[in-house]
Amino acid sequence: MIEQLIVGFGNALTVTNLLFIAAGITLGIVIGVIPGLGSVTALAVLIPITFYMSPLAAIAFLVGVNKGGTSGGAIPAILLNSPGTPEAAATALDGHPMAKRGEAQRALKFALFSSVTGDTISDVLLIVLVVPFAAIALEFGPLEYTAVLLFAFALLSGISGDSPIKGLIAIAFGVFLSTVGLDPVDGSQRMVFNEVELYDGFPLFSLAVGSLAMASVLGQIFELWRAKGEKRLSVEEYSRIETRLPAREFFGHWKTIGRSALIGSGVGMLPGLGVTLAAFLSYGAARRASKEPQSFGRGNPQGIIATEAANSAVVGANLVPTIALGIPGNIAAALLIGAFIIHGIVPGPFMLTQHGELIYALFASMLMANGVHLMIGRIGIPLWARIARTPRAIILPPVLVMCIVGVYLPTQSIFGVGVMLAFACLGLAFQRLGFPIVCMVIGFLLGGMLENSLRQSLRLHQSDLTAFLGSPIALVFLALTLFVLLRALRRA
Amino acid sequence: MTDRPNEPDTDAASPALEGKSPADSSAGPGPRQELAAGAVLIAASLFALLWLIPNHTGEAAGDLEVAPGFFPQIAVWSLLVLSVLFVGHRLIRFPKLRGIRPATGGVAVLAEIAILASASLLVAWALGAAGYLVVAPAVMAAGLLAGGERRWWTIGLVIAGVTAATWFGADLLFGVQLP
Repeated sequence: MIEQLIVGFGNALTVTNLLFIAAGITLGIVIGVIPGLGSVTALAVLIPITFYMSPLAAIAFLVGVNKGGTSGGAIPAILLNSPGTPEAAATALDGHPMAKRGEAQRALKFALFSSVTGDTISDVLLIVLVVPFAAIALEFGPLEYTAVLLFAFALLSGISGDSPIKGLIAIAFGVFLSTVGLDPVDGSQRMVFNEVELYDGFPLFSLAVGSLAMASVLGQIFELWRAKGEKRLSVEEYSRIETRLPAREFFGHWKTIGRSALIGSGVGMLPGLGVTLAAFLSYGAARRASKEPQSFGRGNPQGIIATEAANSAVVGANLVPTIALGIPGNIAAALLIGAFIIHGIVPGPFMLTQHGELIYALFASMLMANGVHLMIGRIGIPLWARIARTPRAIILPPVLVMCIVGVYLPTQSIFGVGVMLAFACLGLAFQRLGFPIVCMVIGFLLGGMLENSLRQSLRLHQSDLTAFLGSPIALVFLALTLFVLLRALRRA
Repeated sequence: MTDRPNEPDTDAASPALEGKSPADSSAGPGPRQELAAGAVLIAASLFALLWLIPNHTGEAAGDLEVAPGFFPQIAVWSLLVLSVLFVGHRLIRFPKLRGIRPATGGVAVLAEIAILASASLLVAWALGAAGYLVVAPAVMAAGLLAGGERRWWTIGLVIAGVTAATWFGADLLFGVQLP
């Protein structure tokens, strides 16, 4: 493996390849900053550009876009409390309070360094685990997936601040919303009222951007309205702003970094669980492990580290099932599979034998991309932090318009914009009433998968729910689910 | 770090109500607002169980297959049970929580939602009827004025700059003509 990796570095270490990686990361960050245009949109839009590139340059460029887009979402989350991507919503919980107390640059540095560290750990795991993973993942059937998803929901309910029951309510509501559309088995209509645009269910982008980004921005505008403007920091207050982040301080959080990178990598390796889940699982784990859990949500840097290290770790790890099995780990990986196919590479177990040289060059490119990401991100921080000095009254209204444009661009449908606006109203109501809207979005994201795996389980076992008792993996996850729920309810 | 009472809090980070004295203000909702929210959720769940799902989902495709309404029903039953538990929990704790002042009053929340819902309907309609070049400046002007910005040159510059940048950006970068 080491020999192959050295050969990979030999192939990947060219000026052209480095330039494509840098361009991909820069474009990813720029697009990730705009609410609604996360790494998925960036990948979808930029894949056609790669037609004229060599396979290695194309895949390295797209991996750069994915890395940049994932970490770029943290910038508006920290500066504006308006996550560019759903997974960055957890970053806003602690990043924005840090920015509000004058530590925007430190928060951005924590996010960047955590992102690059998590990504590097995940890339190393990808290189080491890609072959053995194939054997383990094949053991997961519908029963096991159902149990894993229920466990994920139980863990997520714990991040709901004051009340796990509010988290569970939001999740159940999100799962219910995911059932709108055509039935996944027989294609019959479910609560669509003959509206053709609802046949595929509520558009994910519209729902996520409306309830997360737009609701947050609108909430802030209402606050400014009530407060009759914004208190500006004086010159003396600016002079007290802390911007330094010594390496020793960052690596002092090595436990959180390691734990989060492992959670992100673990989630990334399981197909379909996605970046957002990793971010929130990691946030919840960091909060539970902390000696001061009450400081989370009030500007604790560990909240940023946990989220950013985990969501960036997914980027590398989701290539494990993509390369080993040909199964995309998430939507971004699915788009990368499309790019592989465009360039004549069929993802799956034979990929390593037929295109081994290219795959190890890709691994080398991913490792190099982390260094490039660190440099580009570091140069950009002072620029982004200047935005923090701009009054929110000037920054927020353009974000509203960008949300509208961001949702319109991929679908080119006013229906999608309407759905986004409806969910902005719902998101604001949830926000004001203390229900965690992110739990609703995750319930929506994973609801379809839960339904599919549950229905497959019921069909395979003739609706016999005791079949769960026959699967040791499912049984372990169900027991953990029960344990986590009881513990959370007892705390409440 | 201290919480400022009128600052917006993040979704999942509202500080715990437990442990606060009745005189405390909260960055989260008040107990009456939570009870009202719970009641709305119970009513919505019953509506979905009794009318929406039975009337707007089909029959099972075969003996081995569950009905299309099966999974939505599981989700809504979960929602109903959790909402009842939530209301029960808040009712039991009501005497302790009664004095907590919400960050945003109940009427203010309703007013916000009503304003937002009306504005959303208007924006969605106007986007199709009048187009982006009318809606975007109007949305930004409303946002800037609501946020307390009063300098006409800033308002004009932001509106013109962002509208032009997004309009031409969508066309040149993505090849999409905004409505």
